[in-house]
Amino acid sequence: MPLFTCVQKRRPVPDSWRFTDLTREGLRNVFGRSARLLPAVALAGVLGASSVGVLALEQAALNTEISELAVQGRGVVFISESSPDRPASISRSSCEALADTPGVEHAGIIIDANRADALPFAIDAPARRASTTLFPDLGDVDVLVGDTLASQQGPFRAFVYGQPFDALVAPPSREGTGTAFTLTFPLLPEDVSASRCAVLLEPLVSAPEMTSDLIAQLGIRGNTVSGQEVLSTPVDPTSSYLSRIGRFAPLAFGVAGGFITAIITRTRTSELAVYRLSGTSRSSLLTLLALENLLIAGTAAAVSGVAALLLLPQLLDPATAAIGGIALGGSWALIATLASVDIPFRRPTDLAKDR
Amino acid sequence: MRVNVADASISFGSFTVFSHFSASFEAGRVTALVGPSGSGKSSLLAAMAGYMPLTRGTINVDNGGVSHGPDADLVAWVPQGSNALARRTVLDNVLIASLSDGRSMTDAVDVAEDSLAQVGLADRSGEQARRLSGGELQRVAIARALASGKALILADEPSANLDARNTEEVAAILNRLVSRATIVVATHDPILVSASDAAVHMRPEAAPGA
Repeated sequence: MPLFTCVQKRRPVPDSWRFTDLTREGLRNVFGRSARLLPAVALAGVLGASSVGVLALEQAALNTEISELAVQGRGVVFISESSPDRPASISRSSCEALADTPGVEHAGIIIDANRADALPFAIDAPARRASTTLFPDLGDVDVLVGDTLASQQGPFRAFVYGQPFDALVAPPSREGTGTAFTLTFPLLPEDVSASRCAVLLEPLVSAPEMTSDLIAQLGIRGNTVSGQEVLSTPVDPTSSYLSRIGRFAPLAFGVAGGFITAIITRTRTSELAVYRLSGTSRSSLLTLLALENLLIAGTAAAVSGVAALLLLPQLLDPATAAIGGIALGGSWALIATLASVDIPFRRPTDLAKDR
Repeated sequence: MRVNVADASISFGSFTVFSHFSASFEAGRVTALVGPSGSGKSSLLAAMAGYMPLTRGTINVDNGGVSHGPDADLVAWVPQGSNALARRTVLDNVLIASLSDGRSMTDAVDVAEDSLAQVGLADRSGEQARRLSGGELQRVAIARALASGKALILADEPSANLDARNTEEVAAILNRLVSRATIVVATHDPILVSASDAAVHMRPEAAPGA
């Protein structure tokens, strides 16, 4: 039997589809009435909303944990002498200036005072003077009365050291600030320095990372100083949150959505054969599939964006939601297209026989 | 457009579908490619379309004095069965062929509507394809081939699953299209064979004939 090589000249198949017409095809195949890809669109909506929902739940849990820890003294830092036998003096102005530092809620010095009576509520109660930058309510009244000593609503009069004082029950404060059981007065003009500077950090700030910067800004005489957080947690909740597995949820949703979209696309191969058998080139069909996948993935990202806007008040960090939406849409489109990339390159007559 | 097949063979591994097959498919005619199931009609048609290579031999397409190998860009394929975009309109199903030919939307719609009129489905153009019968879907496939503007139409068992009346209708439509394209129909349906201008038989015992 003679054997010879079959040589057949092949011209490259031109790509005659116009991009706008391919886009129209993609839109109709994805969003058209009773389109076969509508389940993928519905899934995109569900997973888009879920990815932000998961994020909102995680951030709400973080918020709750941080709030609870803050009440227990997390982020309350007292800066004082490193060694008790060698006192240090911290200038009032430098300590109060820390209140303007990013990440700091309040800061100021605290100076112990003689015990006092606050009639008719307390007799021989502990007393101290503190900066108004530490307890802003001191700017409006003469004394803050701890809520374990009195329970009045709003400003009231109390007799301290035999004189009438405008008083207010100290609002709930974080553990370690000592407002609950003391009488707290504003500083006197001669209070220009103190042995300790109290700093209340914002909830997401890590005290160990911040303290050395705060100390560097203080005006100190005498001994060196160090910072002590009232409640020091072994594991920083913010770090735990940033390393949580749930941060990959948008990516996982995108990968799952992409695979499901590819499966639905594979149920359409006999339909896709119609394009190839009618003169559509491989590259045009690949472009059409990529456009369809982009439309579905774009739907997921758009729903994610809308959900993020609706849940904005609950989100600690909207940028995370935005990045999640991009990860969701990007992974969805990429996986769906990669998992379908063989379809345009299969023999059209074989595609036509798929059911 | 004339298609010449010379000493063609197709094998899948050790299995030979057909071998040493030669035939000529004349321009402007409906030629029936006849043979029993498994004789390799669909494989030869796919090779003529450029969808699959021959194992041996050559296929030459003579297109207005220019001769070249099989070219998918010159071919419209009418598939066996009722392949269609089921949830799109009948017009959309035909429109994809004229759009893939690079026409503007306005021109493409005109061509698609004209093609549907040719196969007697002009009044069904707005319906979803899944509402059509098997015979009507086969006519949609022919309209699509027509709208593609290709000079070579290859139909693979276009009467499969059709009753005699629908088969006669398909045969009549194909015969009306010879002025526009060279048509090769792979079939073993006697109605289509008898309605064709020529018949080419596959299998060693059969010889090309007209």
